[in-house]
Amino acid sequence: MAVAFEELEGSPRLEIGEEGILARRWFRVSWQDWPQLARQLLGFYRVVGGQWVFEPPEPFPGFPNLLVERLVVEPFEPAVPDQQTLSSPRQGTNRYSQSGARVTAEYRTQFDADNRPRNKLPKVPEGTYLTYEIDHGLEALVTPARLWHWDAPPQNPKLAPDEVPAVFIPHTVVRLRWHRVASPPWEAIRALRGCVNAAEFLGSPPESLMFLGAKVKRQFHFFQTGGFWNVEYRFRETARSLSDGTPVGWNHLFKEEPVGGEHWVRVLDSQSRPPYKPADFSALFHFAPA
Amino acid sequence: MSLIHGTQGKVYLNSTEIRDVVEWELREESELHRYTSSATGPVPATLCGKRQLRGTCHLALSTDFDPGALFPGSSVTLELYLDANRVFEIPARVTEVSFLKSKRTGDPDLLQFHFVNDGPWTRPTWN
Repeated sequence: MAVAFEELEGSPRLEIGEEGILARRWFRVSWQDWPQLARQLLGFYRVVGGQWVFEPPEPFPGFPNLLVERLVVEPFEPAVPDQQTLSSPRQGTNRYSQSGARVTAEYRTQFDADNRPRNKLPKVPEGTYLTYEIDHGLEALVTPARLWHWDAPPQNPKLAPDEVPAVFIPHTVVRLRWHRVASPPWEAIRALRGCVNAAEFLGSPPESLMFLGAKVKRQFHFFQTGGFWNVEYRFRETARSLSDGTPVGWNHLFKEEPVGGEHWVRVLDSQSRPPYKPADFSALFHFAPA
Repeated sequence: MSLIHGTQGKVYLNSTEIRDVVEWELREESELHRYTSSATGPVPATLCGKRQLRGTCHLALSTDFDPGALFPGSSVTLELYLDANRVFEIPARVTEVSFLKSKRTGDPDLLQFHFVNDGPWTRPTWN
């Protein structure tokens, strides 16, 4: 049931900056109702029949992607606490049944509607959303000197044996953050570490994206139950490619003697298995069972 | 805010009566918190803030009364009588002490102190 509240004078206040909108609203609510208002503003999960049911957060009116990221609760009129005898700090706190609570809600732009600026993101359960970030990196592939010669006609001399030329291959580190998650898929995270994408994923060609693991932390857990998780998945995408530009992945290794004119050749073990297992990453974006 | 005054009373310091009060006045008042909201529109609503009492007492100075025991910060108990049956009982803190000269002799003959309540006070009943 919705909580009765008043929006106080001076509310709302909006700041528009590079990272979107930061908005503040001030509410007055009865002292006993502030936890319920907080849950209403932040959204919450509950389990019904063994299934997660999401009560979505109440966004800023007119801006569905502007969600509460912080709440401050304080007495509306601090000078008039209820008179009571507290025998120990754990017994209770001051209460303000006459004046109630002032709740300050800070909203921030959290995502782009429908992920339009970065399409090809996986589908996630309603109420959760993804944010996408990339960074760069470089891997050095040390090759034997005998592979190379100097481009110096007419002799084109070979490199000296003690020279160790390295080939630098750029890669991309992808951070995909999954916000307001009811229950992270712990088993899938464990099982898929070190796997590569079996099919195109996040726009990356098959086998070019390796799942490194996840960083998981709690979000908004102000009650003993409920609250969310923030799951940051990390992937590394290699930029290995054939001479015609066709991208290849982590299971292609550099072969000294080219095959069909290509040094990057896919490898398999005696049981026809590549070093990095191709897998479907969609299991990373389903909640663990309630 | 209400102003109440009288001419009878007693001052106690550490449960010992130190002097009769010859004149007193006190005010009960409350700080107010006025605000507007989506519920009020432009016309403010009002909440009661701190409720407090402050006042002034006059004591007669004479050779059998040492006023040195009463100084700003002293904790006293006041009994201020409206009449023989109606009394305010007030735990109080002295905020200011001054000596008033007699216009007739030029000698100090009254001690005046201001006070504020220190905790809840008891009002007389009118029934």
